[in-house]
Amino acid sequence: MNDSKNKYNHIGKGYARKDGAEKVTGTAVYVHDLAIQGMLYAKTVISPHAYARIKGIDTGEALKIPGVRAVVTGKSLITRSVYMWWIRIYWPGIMCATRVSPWLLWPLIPS
Amino acid sequence: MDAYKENIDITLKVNGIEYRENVPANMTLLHFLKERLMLAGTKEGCSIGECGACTIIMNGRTVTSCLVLAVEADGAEISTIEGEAKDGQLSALQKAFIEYGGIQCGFCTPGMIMSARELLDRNPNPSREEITEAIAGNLCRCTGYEPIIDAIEAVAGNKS
Repeated sequence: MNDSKNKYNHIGKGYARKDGAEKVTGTAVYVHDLAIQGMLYAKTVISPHAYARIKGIDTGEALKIPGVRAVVTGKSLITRSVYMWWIRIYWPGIMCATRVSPWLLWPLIPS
Repeated sequence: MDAYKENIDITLKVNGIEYRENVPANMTLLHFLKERLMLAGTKEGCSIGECGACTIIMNGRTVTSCLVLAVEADGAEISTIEGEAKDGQLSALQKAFIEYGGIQCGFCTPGMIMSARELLDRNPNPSREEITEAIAGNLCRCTGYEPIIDAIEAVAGNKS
């Protein structure tokens, strides 16, 4: 046991993180700091209620703000996404076109 | 006229370099550093002063830069994580963070190091309790804090 340091090349030895220097100097790049040409910024607006029927979402005022390119709601996903069924099963929250927590599927969803 | 839409001239020193900028009155110091000076090392976590990721040193004291307006920093002297390494050499504090495993995802690291730097400048020989108190405003969800405290303790009394 006491000669394990000689017996193995890597086991029993400490290694410094490869990205250590980048992280302690602040040069490590995080998604937050990426700037891509033509990049748009998004903001989520979540329901103020845990369970409710959505009668309508008026996006008119938001679309009037200069620079706003799109307002995406659950409705746009229903009509456009080919992954609609997967989204419906795994991320019902996104599918809130008509009600928060649709179709009472939530007991079947892990976590 | 909405006061927050006004632009104001400010002069400040960041990591020893003097900058003159014209900034909107409602711009935070954090966004000023990240977007105007392109010093992306300072991180934005919660934007409400809870997490400490945006900690910088302003006039010798740590502040959460998300809660300071750029115009409030007019005339101030500021240190950020970019000023910690000198001449391309990591400081003893930075080396200790790597050696003791005080970094994992690294998001809290710049703020952590700034808090530790301010503590060591003020008190070169802090006790473990004083170290714990100094980083109390910096949240880390990876390390469990112990390796970070170990790293700062290792540098204490052994200043670069």
